[in-house]
Order: sequence, then C-alpha cells, then structure tokens
Amino acid sequence: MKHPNQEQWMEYLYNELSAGERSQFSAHLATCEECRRKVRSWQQTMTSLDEWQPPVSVAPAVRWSRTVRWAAAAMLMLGLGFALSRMTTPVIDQAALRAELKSEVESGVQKQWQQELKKLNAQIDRQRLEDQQQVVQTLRQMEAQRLADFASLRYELDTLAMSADNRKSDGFSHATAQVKLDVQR
Amino acid sequence: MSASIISTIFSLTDEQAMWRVQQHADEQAFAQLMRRWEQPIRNLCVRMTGDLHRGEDLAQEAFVRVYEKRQMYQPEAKFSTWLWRIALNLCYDEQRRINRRSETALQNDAGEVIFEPVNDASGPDESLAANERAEMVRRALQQLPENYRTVLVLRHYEGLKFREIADVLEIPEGTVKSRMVEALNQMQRLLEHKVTET
Repeated sequence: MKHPNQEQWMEYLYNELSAGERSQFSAHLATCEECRRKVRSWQQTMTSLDEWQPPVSVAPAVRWSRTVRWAAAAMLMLGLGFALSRMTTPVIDQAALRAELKSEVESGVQKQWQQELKKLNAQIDRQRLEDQQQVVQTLRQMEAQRLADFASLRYELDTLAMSADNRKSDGFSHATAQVKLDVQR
Repeated sequence: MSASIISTIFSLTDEQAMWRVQQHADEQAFAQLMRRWEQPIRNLCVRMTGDLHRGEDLAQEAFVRVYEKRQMYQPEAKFSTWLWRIALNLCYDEQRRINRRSETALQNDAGEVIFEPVNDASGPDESLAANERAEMVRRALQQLPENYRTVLVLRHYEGLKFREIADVLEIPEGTVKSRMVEALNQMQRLLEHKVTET
C-alpha cells in the first residue's frame, strides 16, 4: 500500500473509514515509520485538545432558571406586597363611607342649589326694578302728553268760543239792521 | 400536558419539530429542540470564542435567531446543519466585533472564567497542572485562524463528520479535511511553543 495522504489519515484518526480500509491503514502504520511518526504526532495533539473541556456547566439550566428564578422572585415580592397591603390596610366600613359620601354630596348639591337660587332671586329683583322704572317713565310720558293735549284742546275751545261770540254779536247787529230795514219798508 | 402530547413531542425528529415551530410557532416543539441542542451549541460557542459567558450568551442568541428566522428554514434541509450555521455566524460576528474593539479573548478578564477545576478528584498539584494545560489549549485554539478553528471544533469536539462539516460550511469535503490537517499541525506547533514558553 502507498502512503496514504494527510486527508486520508484524518479519516483514519476520526474513524470515518470503513472497517476494511481501516485495517489496511493500520497494517501500513505497522510497517511505515514515517507515517507512524506523523500519526502519533497528530494523536498527541488530539489528546492535548481533550484537556480543555468547557466546564460542564450548570450554565444552561442555571442561566435559564436564573431568569425563571428572578421572575418567580419578582412575582413572590409582588404577591407579598399585595398581601401585606391587604393586611395593613384598615377595614373600611362601606355603609358608613357610603352615608358620609351621600351627606357630603347632598350638602354640596344643596349649597349649589342655594347659590343658584340666590342668583336667580337677585336677577328677578333687578328685572322687576327695571320694569317698575320703565312703567313710571311711561306713565310720566303719558301724563305729560295728556297735559299737553289738554292745554291744546283748551286753547282750541277758547278760540272757538271767542269766534262764536263774535259771530253772535255780528248776527245780532245784522238782524237788528235787517229788522230796522224791514220796519222802514 | 397529557402523556400523549409528551410522547408525540419526544418522538418528533428535529426537522418535524422545526416544521411545527415554523408552521404553528409551537413552543413545546421549540423547547424540545432547545433541550436537544442547547448543550452542543453552547459548547461550540464557548470553544469558538474561548469565553464561557460570551459563548453562553451567543448560544442563547442562536436559539432566539432560530425562532425569529423560523420562516426561513427550508423543511427539506437538515435542521442541525442550519442551526450550526446560525451559531457559527454569530460566533464570527462576535469575533469581528472583538477585533474591531482591539480586544482579544486572551487579554480580557472574562478569560479567567475558563479557569475552572478540570478534575476535582485529583490532588491540588495535579489539578493545577491540568488547569494549566487546559488553559494552554484554550489559548492556542484562540490563536488558530478562524477557518481552521471552525473545522477543528466541529470535528474534534462536536463530533460532526467531515461530510456534515462540508454541508454546514458549504465547502467541498476535501477542503474540510485539508483544513483539519492544517488545524492539527498548527495546534501542534502552538502547543509546543506554549510548552517551551512555560
């Protein structure tokens, strides 16, 4: 058998040869000092490589469980906090609280109503005053108008009376004169 | 949840579950996918970034993205291929962000997180030595160019076949293997260099 090449020796070293091939290679090694030396050197290196084994770690389990543990711890703390807060919080009398709230709400509403009523009353008073003033002013205007009309009417009547007197005296004179004419005739 | 639903969900293939997520936003099916794939995706992201916390964040983000982009999933495609690709793209983006900020995983404080006991059963000296070796590997891996690191992580640590890696990265299988050769060769040199440094 010829010297196997280095790549073929790799197959031999890592057991990737068939049984038949392997026995041929072994037989060659038994007779070839050069190949034996080479293979022995590689085998020593391979043995050295085995001296470094990453720590059989706890790592995968620990690293994943670390997360889980943190999560569990956080949940536990949350739970404890919740329980403590429940325990330390004074018991609330819901009926009393409801009554208190009701009275507060009612008094609040009452105050608000009173304020609104006050506002409304004031507004009504203002409106009433304005209306009264308006009525008085209107009455005054009507009185003034009535007086003016009365004065005007009186003047008219006086004028009329005066003119009537004049016409009466004129008529009497005219009638007298007519009578005198008739008499003369 | 009734037993029948549980058994239904457990019998779903990845593709069936993803179809349910896509069509009905089925949270139970998504949870099932997460349970199946969370650890491999987390390991991929941690190894690609060399940073435990960043890797875990990226893994979570990958699943968030799967859910957000569920409508883009092609039902005829293999779910895992799609998922690996999403996670890898997130890792690449993260690496670019880090490069832009002129940070390296070797310099930041987060790197220290990786210093965790490899074997608590061993004695203090052994444990310390094991931790030092582990840290050396972690740092060497971070110095590996991204394309080699990806292939190495997917094949060596995540156990994908070369054919599957080729599908995820959408490159020929031969290229994957040659990258794997280069990745192992470079890692060998980097580790030798670090041993001599110490």
